[in-house]
Amino acid sequence: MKRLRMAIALLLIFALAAMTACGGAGKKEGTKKTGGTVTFGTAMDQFGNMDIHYTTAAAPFQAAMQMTEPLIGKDPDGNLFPLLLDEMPEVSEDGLTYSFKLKSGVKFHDGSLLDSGDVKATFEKMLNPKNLSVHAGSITTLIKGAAEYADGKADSISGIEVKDDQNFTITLVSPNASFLNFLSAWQMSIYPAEAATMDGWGTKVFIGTGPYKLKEFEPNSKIVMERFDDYHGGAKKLDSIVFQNMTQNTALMEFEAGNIDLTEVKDTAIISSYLENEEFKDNIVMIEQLGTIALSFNMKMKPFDNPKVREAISIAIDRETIVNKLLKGLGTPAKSFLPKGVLGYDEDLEEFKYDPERAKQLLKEAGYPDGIDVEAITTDTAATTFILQYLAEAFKEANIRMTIQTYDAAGFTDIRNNGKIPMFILTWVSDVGDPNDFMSLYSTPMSQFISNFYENSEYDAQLQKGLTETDLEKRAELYRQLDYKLTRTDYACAPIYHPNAFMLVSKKIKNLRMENCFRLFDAELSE
Amino acid sequence: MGSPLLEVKNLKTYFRTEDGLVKAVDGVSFSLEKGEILGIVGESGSGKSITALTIMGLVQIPPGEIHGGEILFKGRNILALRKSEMRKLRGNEIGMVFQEPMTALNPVYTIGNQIAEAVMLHSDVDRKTAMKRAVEMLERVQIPMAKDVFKRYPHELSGGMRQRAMIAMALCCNPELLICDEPTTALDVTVQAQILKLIDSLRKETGMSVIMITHDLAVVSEIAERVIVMYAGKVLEEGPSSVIFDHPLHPYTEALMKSKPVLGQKKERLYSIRGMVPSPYNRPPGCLFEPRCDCSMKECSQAEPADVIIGNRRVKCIKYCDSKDGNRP
Amino acid sequence: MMIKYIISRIMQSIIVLIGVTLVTFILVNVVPGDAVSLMLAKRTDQATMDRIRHELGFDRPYTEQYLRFLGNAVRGDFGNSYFEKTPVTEMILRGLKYTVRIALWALLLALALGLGAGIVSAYFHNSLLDRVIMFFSTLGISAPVFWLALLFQIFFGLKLKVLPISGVDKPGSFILPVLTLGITNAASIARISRTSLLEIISQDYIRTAKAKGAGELRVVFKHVLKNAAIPIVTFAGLVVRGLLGGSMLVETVFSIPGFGSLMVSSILTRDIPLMQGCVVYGATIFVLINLLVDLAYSALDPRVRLVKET
Repeated sequence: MKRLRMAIALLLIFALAAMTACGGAGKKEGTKKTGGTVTFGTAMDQFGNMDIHYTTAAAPFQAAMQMTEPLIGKDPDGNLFPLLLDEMPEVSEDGLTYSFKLKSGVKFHDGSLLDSGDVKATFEKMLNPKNLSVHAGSITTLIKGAAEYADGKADSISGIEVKDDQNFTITLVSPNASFLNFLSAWQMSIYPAEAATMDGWGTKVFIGTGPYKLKEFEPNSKIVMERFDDYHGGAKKLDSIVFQNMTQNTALMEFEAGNIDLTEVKDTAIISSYLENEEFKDNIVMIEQLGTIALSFNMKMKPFDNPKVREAISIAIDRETIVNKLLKGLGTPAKSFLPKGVLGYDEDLEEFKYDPERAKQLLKEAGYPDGIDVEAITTDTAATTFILQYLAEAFKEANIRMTIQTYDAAGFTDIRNNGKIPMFILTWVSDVGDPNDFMSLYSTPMSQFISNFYENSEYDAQLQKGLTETDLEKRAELYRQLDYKLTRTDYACAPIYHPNAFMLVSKKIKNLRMENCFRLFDAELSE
Repeated sequence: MGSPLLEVKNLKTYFRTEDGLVKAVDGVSFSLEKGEILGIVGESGSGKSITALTIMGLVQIPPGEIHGGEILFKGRNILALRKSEMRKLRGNEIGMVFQEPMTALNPVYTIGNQIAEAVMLHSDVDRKTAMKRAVEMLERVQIPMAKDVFKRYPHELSGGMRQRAMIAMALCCNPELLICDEPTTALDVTVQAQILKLIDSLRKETGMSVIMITHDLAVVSEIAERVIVMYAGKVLEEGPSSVIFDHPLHPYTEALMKSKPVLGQKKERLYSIRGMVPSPYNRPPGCLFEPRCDCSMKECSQAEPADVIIGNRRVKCIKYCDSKDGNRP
Repeated sequence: MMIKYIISRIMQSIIVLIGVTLVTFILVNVVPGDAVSLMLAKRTDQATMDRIRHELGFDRPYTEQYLRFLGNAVRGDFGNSYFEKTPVTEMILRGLKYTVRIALWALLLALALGLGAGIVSAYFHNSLLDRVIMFFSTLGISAPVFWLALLFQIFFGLKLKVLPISGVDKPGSFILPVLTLGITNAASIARISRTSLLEIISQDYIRTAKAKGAGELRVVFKHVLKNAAIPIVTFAGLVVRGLLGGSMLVETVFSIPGFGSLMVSSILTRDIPLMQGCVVYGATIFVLINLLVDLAYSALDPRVRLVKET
C-alpha cells in the first residue's frame, strides 16, 4: 500500500510539474469592439512575401486585395470601374494610347498622396529584373518601351508618360482589347514609389491605397490588417481582418469551434458532408469561379501526336458522371474551354457526347487497334487527383489504359515547364476573366510551358485579332471560333468541368461577395 | 560465554517462482559468538548466500519470502524489525563484503565517494569528516597511497585493491558482525591469502564476529574456528574446523574433503561427487544427499534424518541416529 | 585532456559541416524543380526567366556558385529567401525560436513523464501498476504523432474548448504541441528507462548500496539513475534531434511557424537559399547535440573518459 501511494505521488508530481511548466490554460478573448474582426483560416506555408509581384499563389493575392488596389476595379458581376481613377481612361484613335486621370486625394497608408510618379515607379519596379517580379513578362510585350527597360537598355519606360501629378498616359506596343481588364488584375496594384527601395518591403512594411492597412505580419503564421480610416472610398466597417495560417483540416476544426470566421474548402467530399450537416449546411457558400478543369495532352509525345487519339480520349470522358457522382453536382460539365461568364462562351454549343465505342473506333483508325497505354502525372497536393483515379478506371471501357504518377509540387512544375509531362489535369482559373486569358494559354510559345506544344499559326493570328478587336460581338465570335478549334477540331485539350469555389462562412458575416475578388474588406458583422 | 551475538533458528527462506516454490534456505540454525569466525561451506546453490542475504535483510520480497524462523542479533529478532530499523542496522552493525569486487562497486562513483557515503549514512557527520574517515579506512585495510586511491574509480584499481576497498566500506562503521560472501573467489591465490589475513587481523583488532561464506575448504580451514556445511538449503554438519575436515561425520563432508585437491599429493583423478544437487523443485522426501551418497541405506530415502549432537558437533545423518552418543533433540 | 578531446571533436564537427554544405549544394542543384521556373509558375517568357536567372547568379559555373555560397555561409550569410525576400538567417532564427521552445518543453515533459513512469514501472516491475504503465507506453509509442495531435485538437480544442486548436499567439497555444510531442517521446523514454533501470537494479553494486544501509530512494536516485542514465542520455539525444527535425508534422498540424515547417516550405517552393540555410543550420544543431551527448557520456561514465583519453 505504502509503495503504491509513493508511486502515485511520484507520478502526480512529475505530471503536475510538466503541466504547470507549460503555462495556464487558454482563456476566452475579451469583448469585441464595434466593427469587429474577421478571421480567415488559410494555408500560408508557401506564402513568402506579401508583395504579389513575386508570386502567383492565391493566399498572398487574397491578403494583398485588402491592402492594395489596381487603377481599375471589377465588381462581382465582372464590370470594370475606375478605382484609383476619376473615370475610365480615354483611348486614342489608333487604340494605342490610354490617358488616365488619378482620383484626387487618394492616400497611401503612410499618409502620402498617390500621384502619377507612383504609378510609373510601380511598373518599373515590376519590370526591373533586380526585383525578381514574376509578372514582368506580360508587360514587356504589352507596353511600349517596357522590354527595353527590362533589358537595361533604357532608364525608364518610354510608354508611360507622366503629365502631372494626376495625369499620365500609357502607350501600347499594339492595340489590345484586354488592356483595361489586364490593369484590373491585382498584381497591377499601385505601390508608393519608394516601395522598390524599402527595407523589409512586403514583410515588415507593406503600403497601398486599400481599405485595410498592415498591422502585423508574421510569416508562416498570420497577417493582421486594421481599418484604414483615410480610405479614399470611405472607411469600411470591420475593425480588422486577420489571416491565420492553418492546414485545411485544422481550419475546419477551428471553424467548427467558432475560432475563425471563414475558410475555403477544397475537398468535394468535405463540402458535401457539410451540405448534409444540419448545423453547418447554411455556412457553405458557393463562389462562381471563372475557370476550367481540363485534361491537357503533350502533343509532341506518342500517342497524343495523333488528333484521333486526343479526340478518342476526349469523348471517353463521361463528364456528366464526373460532375454528378464525383463532384456531387458541385460543378458544371464543360463543353468548351471558356467557362460561362467569359466573353466568347457559346451557350448553344452541344455537349461533348460520351461514347467509348466510338473512342475505340477512333483509336483503331489511328493505328491502335488494341488501345493505348498512357501515363498521367499529378502532384501530391493536387485537388483533382481523384478525377484521374476515376478516369483510370473509366477509360478501360474505351481501351485506354492509364497509369498515374505522383510528384511533389516543385518537381511537377519543373517537368511541366520542361515539356516532359505526357498528360495532366490542368486547372485554369482566371482572375481577370478576359477570354484572352484562357485562349492565349495555347498560343505559341506559351503552350510549351504546360507541356502541350500546340502550334497553330492561324490560331495565333486570330488570337492577336481578338486582342485588337474592340467590337464586343465580333470579339466574342473570334473567341468562340478559337475555342471550337482548340477543343473540337484539334483536341489540344479535353475540358472536363468548370469548378466552383466553396467557403465555410460564419453566419454573422453579411454582404460578402467573393466573385473575382476576395472582398473581405466589404464584410460586415451582425449580432 | 554470554549470549551469542547472532542466533539463527530454523530459518526458512523460500522463493516463489513461475516454476514452483524454491526452498533456498530450509530450516537452518546456527549461532555465532562474539569475536568468533564461522565458516559456511557448500556448493553453489546450497543456500549459503541466501542465508547471508536473509540476515542482511536483502532478500527481495517478493519473489522471496521468510517462511519461518528467527534471526536473533544481540537478542533481538531482526526479522521482525521495521524497514527503517533494519536499514540502520545494515552497514552499521552488520557489514557485508561481496564476492565480485568489480561488479560490487558502483562504476560511476569514486572509491572515496562510496565509502564516505556509507559513513554518512550511519553517523551524523559532514562530508569532510566522512571523507577523512574514508581515507583512514583505506589506510586501515593497508591500501598504499590511500589519498590517491580515494579519488579513483573502481575500474582503475586491481581486483585485490577493490576488495580491500570493499572491506574498508563494510568496516567503516565498526560493525559487530561482518559477513563475507566468497570474498576471495575472484582473486588471485596470492591476493586471497592477503585478504584473509587482513580480515583476520581486523577481527582481532576490533573484536567483531565474522561469517565467512565460501565453497573453498582451504579458506575455511585457514581462518574459521567453527564450520557449518550446507547442502540444498539445509545444514548437514557443524563442528570445529580443527576436527571437522580431518574426521568428517557426514558422508557429504567426507565427499567434499575427497574432492579437494591437496598440494604435493598426486592423485590419478580428482574425486568428484557423483550425480547432481537435487532440483529445487523436486526434492526427495528423505535425506537430500541420499541419491548421491556412497553409503546410503534403505531408510535414507524415507524420512529426513534428525539432527544428532555428538559432543560439540552436530550432524544430520541417519548413520548416527542409533549411535549411543547420539540423542534426538 | 578533456579540453583536447573537445577540440578534436569540434574539428571533426567542422569537417562534417563542410561535407554537409557540399552534399547539400550538389543535391539542391540535382533535384528536379528549378527555382526560377517554379517562381514563374504561370505566365512567363524565356526572356524574363533568363533575366532572373542571371540576377541570381545561376548562369555562373557550379564551382564558383559553391565557393561563394560557402564563403557567405561561414559568415552566417545565406542570402535572401527567394520567396520572402528576407535574410535566411533571420527567418531560421525566427523559426527556431518556436521550435526550440516547443522542443525544450516537450523534452522536459518527456523526461519527467518518461523517467517518472520508467522508475515507477521498474521499481514495481511485474506489478499491476507496471503493466498499466507499460500498456500506456505501448499505446504512446504506437500512436502516430499526427493522430495524437488530431485527437488532442478535437478533444481539448473542439469539444472542451479549453485550449487553442492551432496557432502560437493565444494563451496556452503551446500546450497541445508540447503534450503531443512530450507524450509520444515520454512513452519511449519510459520503456527505455524501465529496461535500463531493471538491468541496473539487478547489478551487484546496487546490492552493495543496500548493504551499506542506503534507503530505497537513495539507492534509486544515487546509484541506479546515474548508471541507467547512460542509455537514457543516448536516447534523449535522439529525442532532441527528433524534436528539432521531426516536429514538422506537429508544426503543420498546429500551424506553428517553426523551423520544421520552414524547412518543408523551402523544399516545396525550391527556395534554394532557404533550403541551404535550413540544412546547414540543422546540421550544425545536430552536430552540437551529438557533441553534448558525448560530453554528457564522459561526465556520467568515468569508463568512457578513460577510453576516449587514451
